[in-house]
Amino acid sequence: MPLADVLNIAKLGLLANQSSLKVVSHNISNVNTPGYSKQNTRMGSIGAVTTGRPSGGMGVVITQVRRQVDMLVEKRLSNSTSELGRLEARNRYLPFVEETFNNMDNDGLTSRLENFFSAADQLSDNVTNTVGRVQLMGEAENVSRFVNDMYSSMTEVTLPIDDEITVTLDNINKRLQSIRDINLDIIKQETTNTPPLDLLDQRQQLINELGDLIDVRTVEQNNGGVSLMTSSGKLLVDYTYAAHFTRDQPMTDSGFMGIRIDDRVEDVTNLVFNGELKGLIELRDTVVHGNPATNGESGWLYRLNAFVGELRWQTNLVHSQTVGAKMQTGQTGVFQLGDTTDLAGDIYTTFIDQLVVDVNDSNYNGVPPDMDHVQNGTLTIAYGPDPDNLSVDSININPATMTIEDVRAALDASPAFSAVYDSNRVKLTAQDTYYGVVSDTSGIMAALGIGAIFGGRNAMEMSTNQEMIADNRMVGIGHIVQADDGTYQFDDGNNQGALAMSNLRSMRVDPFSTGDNATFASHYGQIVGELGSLIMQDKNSTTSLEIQQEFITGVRESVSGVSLEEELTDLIKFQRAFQASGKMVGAADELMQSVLQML
Amino acid sequence: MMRVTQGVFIRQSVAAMQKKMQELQRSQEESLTGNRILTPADDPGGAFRDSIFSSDLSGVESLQKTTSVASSRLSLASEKLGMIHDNMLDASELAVTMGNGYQGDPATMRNLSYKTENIFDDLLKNINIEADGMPLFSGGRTRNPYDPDNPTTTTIRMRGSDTAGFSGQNNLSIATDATGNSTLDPSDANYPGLPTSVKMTYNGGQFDVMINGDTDPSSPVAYGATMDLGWVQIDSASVPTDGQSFYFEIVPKYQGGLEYPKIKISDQQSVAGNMTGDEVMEGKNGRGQNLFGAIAGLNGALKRADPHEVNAWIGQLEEARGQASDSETVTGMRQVQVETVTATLDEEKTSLNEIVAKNKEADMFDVLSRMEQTIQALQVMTTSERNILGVSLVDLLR
Repeated sequence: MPLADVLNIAKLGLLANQSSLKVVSHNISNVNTPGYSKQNTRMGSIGAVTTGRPSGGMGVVITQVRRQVDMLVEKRLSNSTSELGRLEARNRYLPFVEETFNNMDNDGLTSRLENFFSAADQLSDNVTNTVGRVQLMGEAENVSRFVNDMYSSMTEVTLPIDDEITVTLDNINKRLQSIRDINLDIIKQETTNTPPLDLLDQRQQLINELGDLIDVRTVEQNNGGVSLMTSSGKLLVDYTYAAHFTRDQPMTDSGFMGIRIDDRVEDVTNLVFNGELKGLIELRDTVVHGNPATNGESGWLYRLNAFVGELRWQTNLVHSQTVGAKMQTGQTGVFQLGDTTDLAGDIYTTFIDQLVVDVNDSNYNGVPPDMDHVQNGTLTIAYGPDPDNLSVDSININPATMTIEDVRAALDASPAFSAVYDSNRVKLTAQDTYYGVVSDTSGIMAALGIGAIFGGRNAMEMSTNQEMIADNRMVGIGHIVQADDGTYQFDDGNNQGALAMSNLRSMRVDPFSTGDNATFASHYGQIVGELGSLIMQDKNSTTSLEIQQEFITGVRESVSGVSLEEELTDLIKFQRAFQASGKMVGAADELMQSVLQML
Repeated sequence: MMRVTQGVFIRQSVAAMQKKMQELQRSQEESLTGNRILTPADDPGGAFRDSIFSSDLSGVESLQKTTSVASSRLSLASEKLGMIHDNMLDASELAVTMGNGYQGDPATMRNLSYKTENIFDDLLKNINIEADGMPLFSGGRTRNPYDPDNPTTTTIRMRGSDTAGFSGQNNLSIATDATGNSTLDPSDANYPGLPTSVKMTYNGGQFDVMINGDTDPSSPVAYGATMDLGWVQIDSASVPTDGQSFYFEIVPKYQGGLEYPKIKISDQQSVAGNMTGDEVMEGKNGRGQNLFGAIAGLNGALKRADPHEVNAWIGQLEEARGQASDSETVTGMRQVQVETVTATLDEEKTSLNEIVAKNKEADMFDVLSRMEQTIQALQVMTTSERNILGVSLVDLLR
């Protein structure tokens, strides 16, 4: 073997070990880099050149520098992040919704409702007590204000959620662009002899991060690039294309801006199936704003509104059939009659041609919310100047044939009172000193909000009758009673009305029209319990997924992670090999010297 | 064999420490609030139950307050009815003493009428008693059940002779006006006031009218289909027989309501509250005795110094006393019923408090045990992790 070969082999050894040391160094420096895969060198011996004489090998060469990865593990890791991202987004905001409905600290809606019912109990004990009437209205005010706050809290939660959707889309866009750029670099580098190891890691890391934000399907290309798509088949990234998410019209069902890709017409809000983005959309559109009529979901705002609607209707129905500490001289309904009613004209017959209206129909925008509860029945009124001897009048109400104007006219025709429109509400004024409702099997008084405790169309607007706040003698305590001789009289200490109000506590109602008749407390408990179940389910799923992801991350760490012990051992190994190759150069040099001296 | 890297150690260490810190925080929250369910997600079923149990508890506590107050009110009513009964017993005893057997001075008899006047005043005071700003026997009205300024008359009764007892008759009645109201006019100058017993004795086509022991200014009044005494008009259906006497009393008119406010004793269930004034004083739906009328009648008999007339009142006074006793008994029974309900509610409240506590409250021993366990685990963990994470080949290579 020529001495030059020895030198050459030593040189190759120096170079190969130097390269390996470089890789070790690279590994050590990236020990904390997220997504980094340990790299290692593959060495190969160079075979002997056949010259007819026996000869050894020609040294060593780095045949490959490669990433230590398991593609199956990488794929599983990427897939598991989407669901976890979705759940984590939900877990961030659901406690706010939970806090709104939480009554475990005895400071929620249930407690306030109980105080309201208890105030009715106390009032029934002594209806002449002014404090009792003031307290009842105070508790009613507490209920309505708390409901208003609940509504505000719920809608306020959706604002940061919606903002975060915008931020998330921005993050998605940035990552999509980066992945596209890296894709291009990888493809370019694949055509050279230098494998794009770090770029592959970076791209995988970005894909994992993207998977946390949105559902992603990866398709490997032959040229080293990848295509990314959503589960619904929307292309996100190619090596020349990166989708760009924008927020613009059309509006989603919940009234927020929709999501579009590259300004195309199609709204993809509901085509996102996983990831943080999905979690945020679910929270906003389903958990909070879900509505069976628009998106088939029963969100907690819908449940709150349904619950409050039933509370308002039942309370008003009971209270509108009571008499206060004095008989009425005049009352104004708490409900506006709607945007389509023109008080000066006959537009009632044009738009509101029946009382039973779909209160959600845009033609009837703003009609009293409980109009669809009105039934074919009779309103019986007692009236007159002498509470000991009252006259009685009955008014038949037929929702199938009467308009709001028909009702007003029928009320106005009664000798008990006059009925006019006042600020788009029905206003009654006694015609013969006093009047009081004996019974109302139609529910028209409650529907018009006359003698109602609660006003407002929904949780946001829920309010308390200001007439009663201003004059607590209008708070219902008793019923008009019929004496043995058939005459009607008003006993100002009768407590039947207050008792009926207190019985609301145990009244069976069905606010969600599911056939489930239960008390208000039970229905509210159900709302809270279901919310708790949802959160608990999410937490459990999150824990389960975290364990799963922890395992996969552990496996990835085991396969691709940098072990400092390993690297330090390799460092010694390659350092020694380098030193040995150096010695070989020295030995060859000495040999050369010897040969030269021989000359 | 699975490779182990520093990253695995660190991640596992952080995750385990985080978990323990969460457990510690949970224990802290439970120990601070005393509750194991802090949010619905902690136990959705428990949160649902809490809503129902808390509502039940609130309802029971509220009912307990009302029944407790109602019981006190019934107790006061019972006490007053007892006093009314005593008043009637005194009147009965007076009637027996001054009845047929009395041989004393008529002036003494007249003087003793102050007793019946006092009894009349006591009756008025007792029946108009108020509690918590509301008359106890007003039947759901805020005004007093009886007001001397709002009088009426009892029905007219007859005695065939001076020694006979009272009997029903259909000859005379108090006239009514066109609207059906009594012609009794308290604003008339000769209106005699309360308590008044009117005696009209027919003789020779005219009536001698006595107001208590005095002759009415209108007396004698000639017989007619309608006879005007000035402050009241009397209708007659037929001519009486000479010597027949007709009696009626002026008494306060019941001006209360139809029924006393009911007392709620459970969800959707309420019981009759106190008795109404007309049940007590007029025996409505009962014996039908007018207690004011009986006392006014006895008062008139005493003032007329007529032992036979006094004697005629004995039976009616006994019946009136029995009526007062009935009222006292009924009220006592209602009081017992309400007290029983209050006691039951008290037991129910205790049970519900227990259920609410069991459902919601934390077992503090368990909380403290868990807290101690977690703290110890954290201490062990920090020590062991320091050793594990401290191991490095770098140190060995120095």
